Amino acid sequence: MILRSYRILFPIFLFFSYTEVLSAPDLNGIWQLTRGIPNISERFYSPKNLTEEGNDRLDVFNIFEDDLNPLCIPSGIGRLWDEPDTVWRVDQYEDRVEIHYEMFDIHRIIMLNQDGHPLVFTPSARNLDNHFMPTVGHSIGWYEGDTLVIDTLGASEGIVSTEARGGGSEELSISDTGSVRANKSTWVPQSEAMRSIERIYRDDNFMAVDIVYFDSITMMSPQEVRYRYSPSSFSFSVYGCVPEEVAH
Amino acid sequence: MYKRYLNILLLSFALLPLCTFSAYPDLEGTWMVNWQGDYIWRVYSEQKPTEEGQRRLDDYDVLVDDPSLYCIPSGVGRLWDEPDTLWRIEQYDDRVEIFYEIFDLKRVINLDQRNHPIDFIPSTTDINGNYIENLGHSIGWYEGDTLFIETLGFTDSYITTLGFNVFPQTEALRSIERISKDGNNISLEISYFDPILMKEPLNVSYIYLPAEYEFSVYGCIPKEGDH
Repeated sequence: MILRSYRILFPIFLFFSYTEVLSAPDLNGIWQLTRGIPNISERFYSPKNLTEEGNDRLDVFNIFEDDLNPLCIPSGIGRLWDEPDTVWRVDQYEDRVEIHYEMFDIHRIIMLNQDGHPLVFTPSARNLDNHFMPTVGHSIGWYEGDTLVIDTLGASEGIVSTEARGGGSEELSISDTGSVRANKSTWVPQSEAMRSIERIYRDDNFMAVDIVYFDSITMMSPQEVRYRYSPSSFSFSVYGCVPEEVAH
Repeated sequence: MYKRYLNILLLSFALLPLCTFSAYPDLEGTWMVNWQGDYIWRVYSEQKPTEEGQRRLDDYDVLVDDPSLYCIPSGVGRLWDEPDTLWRIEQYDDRVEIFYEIFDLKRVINLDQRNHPIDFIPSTTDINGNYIENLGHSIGWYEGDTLFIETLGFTDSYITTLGFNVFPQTEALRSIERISKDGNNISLEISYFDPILMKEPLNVSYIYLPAEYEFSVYGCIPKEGDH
């Protein structure tokens, strides 16, 4: 009788040891920003609330000189998630998650269940040529129920996203005097002090990504952004970015 | 025989979750430095400031920039650098509390957290319950016989304002403190890195001795604080 109890109990103990691995939600798939679906908003930005320093940095930011897109470098994490025309996918492993963004062929490796970030680190994202992306910082992750949580810090200074919120067309405009100017109304500057927490989970047929950014140098209060992505009908391809040829 | 092995195995599985609670090193006690003694109690690595770091160092004016006059430490380093007062540590299953006699500060470090909250309240308060923002937000964990404390969320200030080791800090500073026993003494090693002000991390090591005095109330009065 006792022996039989052990035979039952032992596999249960073993099973619980692996529960964390087994219980990771399935986030696999290829995803793109949701468009044209009634009652589903592809992205939502909370109102920005910048410090004086944040406003100053935004004022002096010149999209033609300071935006890293022409160098095939995303301005920040937000630029990757904001991207409307390419797809992304996530690969899940026991010890890490790898997010592949078609845009600029960025590959982001997020180690799971770490004790904090290293004090000095290499950025978690790199491109096809293995060049690190300092604007995207260093990330660690873990699962909370059905949600993948990613904590990021150590990004270099820049703009969280230089993508325009509405889909790209209003990013640049012509002033009354005929000069071309950037629409910065939704841009948020980031400094080396910025931290972000991304929460990735399935929302019915969609993939939800909720992000909170906080940078005590540039922001008075956290910036929240929510995205909904749909399964993509396109396959994942190579972007093949050539510096200086990329459009804003 | 087979049954005996099963007994042992099952017991091991049952005890495994308890091990993490009971395995932490005993660091409790009241600690001090004896700066008149013949041992070296503090070693700072060479400062490697960026241009911005050097500019802030050059601009530093102890009579204007040191918040000690208001009973506020300029940063974590100022607490550990303090030569004339004591500190003590209390260990609990879920947290560590460090009490610094200087300015009557209490620092609560929650253990085994996933990360720092994005929006937090500072981990340190004074005797009146005022939060000390210069000291940021800390979380901790044990690795073997060492207590690790990771801190971020500092304010624009100075890691320490004591002696020749003055160094500025920004909101981008992060620090990792490693506290362990070294015989009867306490060894503390700290690494700071601030990408705005440092080209390389700043490393500091300390040795503290068991205190020979009772822990007392400092009773700091703003504007009368001593450097």
